[in-house]
Amino acid sequence: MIKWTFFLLIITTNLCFGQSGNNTIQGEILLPDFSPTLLQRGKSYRSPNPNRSAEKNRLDGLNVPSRNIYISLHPKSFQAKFVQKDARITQREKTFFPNIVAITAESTVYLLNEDEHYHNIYSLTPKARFNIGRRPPGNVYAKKISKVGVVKLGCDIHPEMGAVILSLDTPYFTKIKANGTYTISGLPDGEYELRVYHPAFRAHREPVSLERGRVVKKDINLKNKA
Amino acid sequence: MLVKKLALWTTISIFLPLSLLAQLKLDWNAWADLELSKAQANSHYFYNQIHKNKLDWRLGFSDINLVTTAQLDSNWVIQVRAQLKRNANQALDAFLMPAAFIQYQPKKQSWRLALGRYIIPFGSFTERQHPKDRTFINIPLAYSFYQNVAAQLGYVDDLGETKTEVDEMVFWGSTMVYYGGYTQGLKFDWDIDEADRWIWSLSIGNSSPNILDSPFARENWGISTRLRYRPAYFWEQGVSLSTGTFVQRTSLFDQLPAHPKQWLLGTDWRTGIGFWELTGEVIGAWYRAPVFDRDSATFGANEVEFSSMAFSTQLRYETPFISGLYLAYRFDFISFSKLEDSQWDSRVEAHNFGMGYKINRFLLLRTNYLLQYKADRPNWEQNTFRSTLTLHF
Repeated sequence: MIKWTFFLLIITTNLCFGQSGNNTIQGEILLPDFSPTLLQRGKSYRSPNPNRSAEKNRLDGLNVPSRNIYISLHPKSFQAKFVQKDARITQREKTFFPNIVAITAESTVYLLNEDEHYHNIYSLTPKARFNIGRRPPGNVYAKKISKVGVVKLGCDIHPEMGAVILSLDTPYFTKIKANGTYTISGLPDGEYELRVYHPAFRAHREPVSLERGRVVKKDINLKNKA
Repeated sequence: MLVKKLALWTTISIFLPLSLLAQLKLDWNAWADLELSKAQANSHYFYNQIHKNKLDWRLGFSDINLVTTAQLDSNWVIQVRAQLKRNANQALDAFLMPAAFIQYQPKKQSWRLALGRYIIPFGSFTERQHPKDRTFINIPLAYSFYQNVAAQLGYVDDLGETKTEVDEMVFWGSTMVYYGGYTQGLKFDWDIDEADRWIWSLSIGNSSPNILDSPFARENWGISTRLRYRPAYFWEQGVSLSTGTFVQRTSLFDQLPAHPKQWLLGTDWRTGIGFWELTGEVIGAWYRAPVFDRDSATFGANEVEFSSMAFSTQLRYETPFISGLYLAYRFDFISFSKLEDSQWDSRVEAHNFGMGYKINRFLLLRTNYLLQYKADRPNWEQNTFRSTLTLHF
């Protein structure tokens, strides 16, 4: 009797609150032909010193918008289960790498100094203000981010450095692949809002409906959003 | 409005003609300081930027700045800083162009050449006083005037290089190289190694920073050089040397049997750990100048040697519990050698207590209280309260 009651309870709970299906959304991000310049307002007076190392050029090449666009799906018809998704940002060659990371809110970002210099990391973003002081080479600092939204980071010793933590209220997100495509799998049935984020582009949002384990193709045009 | 005027003026005079010649990539940055100040009875403009006739509480803009960087191509860069500055009469009507230079750096090379008007490579304070980077750490306390200013040089009252008009009266001061922080000429920079451990700068130019009337007069020329070494990631050490006449050409110059000479030797350091930073600097100055006979109002054949020694240190603490808040203390000291049983200027010491708070990326609030003592004046009557809200655009 107890076994049957427990079994019925599980079934009922799933019918009421659970989601079925294993949907996938995929597509291509259409980017403008030129590389958009990230607005530097309020950041620094650019030092006219163009001296750059090969490693610095490599990191900057990986930090370009076409490699760091994030696509996220935000459930509208159900509450997504919290999943901790941590991330890592390193400071190397006076550069944050990667300069954009996405996490789920309440997750931890590990901040590494892999440079030969002192570095600092601070945020003046409301509800996410912090300052970790000067950190020597080799230091790792774990910072839990509770705020949902964009958290902007800077280094007060090297003002040309900047990074963004995209703290999301959904576990369903991914980063654009090198070939400009994206795929998010394991999505329950339901209504979603699809969002695309990179600070060099205006925000893109659109509704998406997923059901019965389908693979939905959704290309996103950012050509006019730079 | 003033910023727009500055931008317009700079664009029309410099970048519009250049844009006809090349395709420019422009960066614009601007900032303004809104200042609330009050000074004690014996305040002196040369020491704290508040003249004794202007002691009352005052709220107003002390300066508005516009920095423009134009990337001509991968090798050539132009940088201009235009400034509207408050004069000694507290009116915001002095238009200056403190920096305007063109820089050449060949591809894959670690040296650079700059021609024009730029920050003088001597010590660390020049960079801090006129920051080209918007760093919270590097912005100085809520004062910018510095030590090493003497009212006279070798008994010649008006042989100073810095002329200031207050209520239609002209005040002269002779200064060391720091006063103003800019010079015009040719500068060579070399990042000796890739990791920025060694950086060497050499400038040949007119090292009287405030001279705009006769910027190319031969009496003003000199050499300044600085070698910065980083022995460890938490420690930067600089050594600077400067020599030249550095004295403004005046009508007295034609009477001089020999021109005054100045040698400066300085060392500066910066070290920090966690939320603490300690910076400091020692500068020695040695002068040789003709002796002025006050009775006959003529120069004798003799020259006289005299010197000064300056020291300053600043301790800063950023509070981890209130992000964006710092507390700071700074101590300045300068003493002068004796000339014929009397000192050629009076010893000065100053204690600065400061606090700053970065409200957001565009607003920085700084407040400080300056306790200043000069030996020939009543004790501590040059004290100054100053609170500055820096607005970035």
